[in-house]
Amino acid sequence: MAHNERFEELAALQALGLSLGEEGSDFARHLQEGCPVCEALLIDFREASAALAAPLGKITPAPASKERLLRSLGPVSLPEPKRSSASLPRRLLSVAALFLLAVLVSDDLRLRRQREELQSRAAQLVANVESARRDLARRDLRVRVLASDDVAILLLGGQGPQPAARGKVFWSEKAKRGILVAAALEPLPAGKQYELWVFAQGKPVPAGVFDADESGRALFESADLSAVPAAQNFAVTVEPRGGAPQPTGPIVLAGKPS
Amino acid sequence: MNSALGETDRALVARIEARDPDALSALYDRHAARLLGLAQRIIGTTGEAEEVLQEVFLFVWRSASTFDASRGSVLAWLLMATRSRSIDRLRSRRPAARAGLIGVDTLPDRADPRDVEADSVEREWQALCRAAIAELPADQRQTLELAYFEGLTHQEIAARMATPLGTVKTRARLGLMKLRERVRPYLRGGSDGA
Repeated sequence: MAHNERFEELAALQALGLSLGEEGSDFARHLQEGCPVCEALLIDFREASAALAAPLGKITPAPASKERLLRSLGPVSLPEPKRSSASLPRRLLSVAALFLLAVLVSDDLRLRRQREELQSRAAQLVANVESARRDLARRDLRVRVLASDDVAILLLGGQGPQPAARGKVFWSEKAKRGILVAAALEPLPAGKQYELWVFAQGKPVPAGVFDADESGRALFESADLSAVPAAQNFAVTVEPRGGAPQPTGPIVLAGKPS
Repeated sequence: MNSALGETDRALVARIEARDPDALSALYDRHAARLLGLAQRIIGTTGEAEEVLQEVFLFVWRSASTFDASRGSVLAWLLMATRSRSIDRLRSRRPAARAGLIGVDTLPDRADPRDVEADSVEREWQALCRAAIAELPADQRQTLELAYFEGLTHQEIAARMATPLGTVKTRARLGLMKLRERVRPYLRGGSDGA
């Protein structure tokens, strides 16, 4: 199939990670037949796609994440020896020796494969356990806030561009955490997120970013606000995705302790 | 560990293929913050984004041999692995979101300001990409962002933008071509290095 613009479009979609559907087999055949233009385009389009992510802010992972990753690797097996560039007879001899060795130690290899498979499963299980542990920690935190004897319910009313929005913050001064439940929030354009603020000593402190679901509802648990001396008020603004250190967008929810 | 500082990404991947955990650690230090930024941008919550980050580096550890330098840079490979796993999570969550169920996650950590200040080359690259994206016609930019960050199929993009399918394909091609022209000189300068 001769090169044409349609294949360039398919290269663009593939580089963006989109499914090509029925056209996928056409494009695969086109590449198999050898099209230097599309091969080069695919590489360049992949790099260009990566450029879409470049302006995003970096987020430093928690140090524990890396430790968990390295722990989950399990015992490290030695690399396979590199092939030498020995002469043909020596290589044949080596192949024969390897074959003989393979026969002799086939049981051992099978056991090694089983061990590697078990290690892989174990790593997956460790990851699952970590995920479950995080979920459990979140649930524990919610229970701790809601069951706290000092929990206060703060009503938030719609403001500015979203008068119909409404919400409640369950705030525990002891836990220094709040749980926001909101409804009737409007969908935001790509690149925007809602950000919760807690006001202490008259100043806003960022308490985390969140998205509303398609029905405009949100359930969000604030960050640990131990550094906040005493919460006086809460508000929600619209900010660039990822949040801002100070409010920059319109206030859509605000309230005071009841 | 310090020996990894001057190594290219490709050299680190070759060492990972040889089961060198120090190389994985070095690659993690070099790219994890950027990958977490992408995962958080797509998924919206840091808890799940960190899980994706774990999955990506476990994938690198187990499947370093599948990296093909002739198909692009290590960074592009890592970003695509992160993006596809993040989109999978986003898609699996969509039915729950429609039902009104919301996942509750911890807050995103703020980026370490030292990271931002440490690397002027990185800042230059970010500024170049930001400018290149900003210069795209709005319809092309929106098409690329819906595909890359929201994982919409080209049929879904066509429906979302009330545009014929062929127009979506053309916009994706033209948008990527323009981006390519802007970033290509920089990439040819060797972005796959340390």
